[in-house]
Amino acid sequence: MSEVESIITISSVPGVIEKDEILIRIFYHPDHIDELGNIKASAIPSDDLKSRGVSVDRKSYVEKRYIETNIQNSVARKEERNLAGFGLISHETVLGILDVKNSTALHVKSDPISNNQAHAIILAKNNYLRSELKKLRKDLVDKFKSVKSIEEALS
Amino acid sequence: MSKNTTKPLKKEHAVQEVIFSLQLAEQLSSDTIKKFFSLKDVFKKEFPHFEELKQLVLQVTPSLPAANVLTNEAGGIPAGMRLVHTLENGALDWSIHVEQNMIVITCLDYKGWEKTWSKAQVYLQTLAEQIIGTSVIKAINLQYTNIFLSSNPDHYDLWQVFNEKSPYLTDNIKKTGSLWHLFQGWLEENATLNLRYLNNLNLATLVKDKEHVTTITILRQAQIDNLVLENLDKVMNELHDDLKKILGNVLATRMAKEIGL
Amino acid sequence: MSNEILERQSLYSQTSSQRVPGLIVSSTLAFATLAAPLSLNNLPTYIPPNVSSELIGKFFAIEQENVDKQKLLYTIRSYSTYEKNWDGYEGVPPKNKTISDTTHFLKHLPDNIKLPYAGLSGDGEINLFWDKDSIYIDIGFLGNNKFSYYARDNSGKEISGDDIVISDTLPTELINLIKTISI
Repeated sequence: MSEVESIITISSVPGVIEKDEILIRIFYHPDHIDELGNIKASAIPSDDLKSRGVSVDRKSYVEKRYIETNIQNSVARKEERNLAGFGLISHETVLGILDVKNSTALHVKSDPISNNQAHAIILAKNNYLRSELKKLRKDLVDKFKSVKSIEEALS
Repeated sequence: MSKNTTKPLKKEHAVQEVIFSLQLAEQLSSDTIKKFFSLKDVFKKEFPHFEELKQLVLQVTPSLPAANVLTNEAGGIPAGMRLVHTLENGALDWSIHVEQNMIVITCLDYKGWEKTWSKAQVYLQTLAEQIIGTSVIKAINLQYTNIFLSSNPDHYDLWQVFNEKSPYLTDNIKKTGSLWHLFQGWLEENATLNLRYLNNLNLATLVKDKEHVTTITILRQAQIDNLVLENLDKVMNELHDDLKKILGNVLATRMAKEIGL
Repeated sequence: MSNEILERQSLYSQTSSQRVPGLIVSSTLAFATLAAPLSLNNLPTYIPPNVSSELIGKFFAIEQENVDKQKLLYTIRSYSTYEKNWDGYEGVPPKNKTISDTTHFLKHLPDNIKLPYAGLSGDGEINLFWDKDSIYIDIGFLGNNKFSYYARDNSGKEISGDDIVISDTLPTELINLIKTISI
């Protein structure tokens, strides 16, 4: 399967992410899913939490075609990879994840990119050690609500 | 200049087959072979076809009828295994063969060095791990078979494939007709690293199905006393680089460029 | 008069090139002719007589554990075939050293413990996870000869470590926790 060109989406998306906004991340089988069908913590790279930001899409603003194209391209990239589903999490839930000092550990920033104005990133607020990041990503992964289809994810 | 009628086997390259192999100091014991059988499950997804190879041992004594066969296991002693993967059209693309003192991975669906070696390395390391502590690896082999085809056998032009100045072609071959073969081998010593390299370069031509076929098979073997598995990647990459240099000295510049050498 | 064995000979095929097509080697290859039909039988070839079923069960359990470990090692090694952007989020493949650090660690785990499952992260880190019996362990490797870990036991107590040099001995608290996980 050849890669499908990305669809450029042009829409007006507010820069501030409301607390009740839902964020979406795509997960693939087998790389992101364990034997019991749960999301592996490794689906959230520690380095991304620390510096680059963990990519998510803002449910209220992302275009369905963009997600579909992304999925097609990712699945084409590796044999035996298929879509496992979508993880949904609210902005408020992300903010509720605490570090060992009981402080808010993560925040979410709007990060529009050329073909996706609805792109956002989840970042650690402080310079945590790797072991601390492991705890945070586990807490984050446990809070995702999993849905199978794109229709459910965007409904 | 004659029209270029000779083409490499595939669009991007001329590789028909790549063989990666480990040569052991001694024949594998049946106990070690049995350890390899346990990999059937490990390789199941990628190699759905698994075959045990057995060896029949004849023991002839004066008091027994000649046809009597004594074995210590039903059906024969484990002697090796073969695993095969095929493409959707039934063509074989990857195989694993373990027997005697050889562990051999064959690829017939070459996708460039990086991709092909990264896959073969996973298989080789998994296999080689079964012999740690019981067998000594004494040589590592890398072999390529390149094929060039011409639809015009009557107008065969040696120089469409080969470099006129190549040191690997003899004067006799340069003057001969379109059908010939030339097999050569040589040893190289690397005193600094205490290594020896065996090289085999086999050039052959034939006409098959009205096509003129030129085959270049090139093997380079690193002879090492007891290879440490961690060095496998480094050694194999070096063998690949060396083979590229040899092939570059065999092929005509235009053909070398055409196959991305 | 003692029987003398006059001859002991294996049956060989002369056609070595057919058995290993195209391979040129300096020594002659000769192979046995008999190939067993495709077999679905994974049982070992010899079981001592009059052995209790418990011992036989243990025998198969050890065999299966070996196979499971091999599968896990194979999965980890397969990460070397991943390419850039393998996860659709610009993920990078692991370094060869990361793979060798992880397999080295795995091979030096004690026997008779629950095996972990592996995960590859988009930053190139390879992880070994245990997530059972309300115990969670995440050990990560980045190919610098060290590992980091985070774990919590079934009472919620947390332990962690960073930049631990990979050696043949694991941190005691970590190995003790792993040992409490049922197989």
